[in-house]
Amino acid sequence: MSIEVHLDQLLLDRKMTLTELSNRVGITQANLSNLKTGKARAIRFTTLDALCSELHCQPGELLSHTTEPDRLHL
Amino acid sequence: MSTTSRLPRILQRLTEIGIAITAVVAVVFLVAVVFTDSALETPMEFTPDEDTYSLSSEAWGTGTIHDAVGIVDFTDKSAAYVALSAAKVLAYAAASLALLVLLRRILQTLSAGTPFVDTNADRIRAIGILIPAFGFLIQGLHWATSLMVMDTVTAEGLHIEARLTLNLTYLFIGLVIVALAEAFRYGTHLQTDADLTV
Repeated sequence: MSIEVHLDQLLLDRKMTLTELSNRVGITQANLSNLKTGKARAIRFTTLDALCSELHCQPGELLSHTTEPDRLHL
Repeated sequence: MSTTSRLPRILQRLTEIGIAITAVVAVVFLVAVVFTDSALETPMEFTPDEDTYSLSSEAWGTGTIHDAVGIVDFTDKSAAYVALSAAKVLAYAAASLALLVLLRRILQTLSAGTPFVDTNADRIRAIGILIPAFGFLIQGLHWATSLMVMDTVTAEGLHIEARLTLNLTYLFIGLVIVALAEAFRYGTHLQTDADLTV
């Protein structure tokens, strides 16, 4: 099972930087970077809620499932 | 700074002092063994002749000595005997230094943040392996020295033996520490999971 994180695309669409998002949701840039690069092993519901609130998106727009085993593993 | 955060640094300093003291004591003992006429102690086991040695007590009657353990001192030393004694000193020093260095490195990670890193699990496991390894090495060296002495010593009324006694306490301590190392390794996995949860 592989999960893709589309944080890059969402940030681009909203013309928002990672630093700006980090300040708004109160998550360190290092953690957001882990999420963006697929290094993160798990995501809290509170984090998902905060990200979706700031990016005005649904969880399904942020995360998607792929059969390619080269992305985030949950 | 709280007491809990000071403690690892204090322990780290103590291990550093321990390393320095161990190194100095090892050198002093080595010089004493090799270059001075100091008596060398060899642990020996004796079985006294019952006709020669006996105990008597007004309250308990006559007693028989079956086995006795003691230390023999010699002032005249052969080269092989000195070499074995020096090897014992070096084994004690190497064991103490290796354990103190590993402990110091573990404490360093504790001072730096979290001790739950894979290398610490390896270090704890190394401690668990080193304790019985050095314990048996030192016991083996004692036995070898006793064997050497036994060949040259005659004592009337005493039957001298050089028994190889393996103290299994070292092995049990080692097994407990190795088991704890594996539990610690699981802790490092949990720490990594926590670190990579956003």
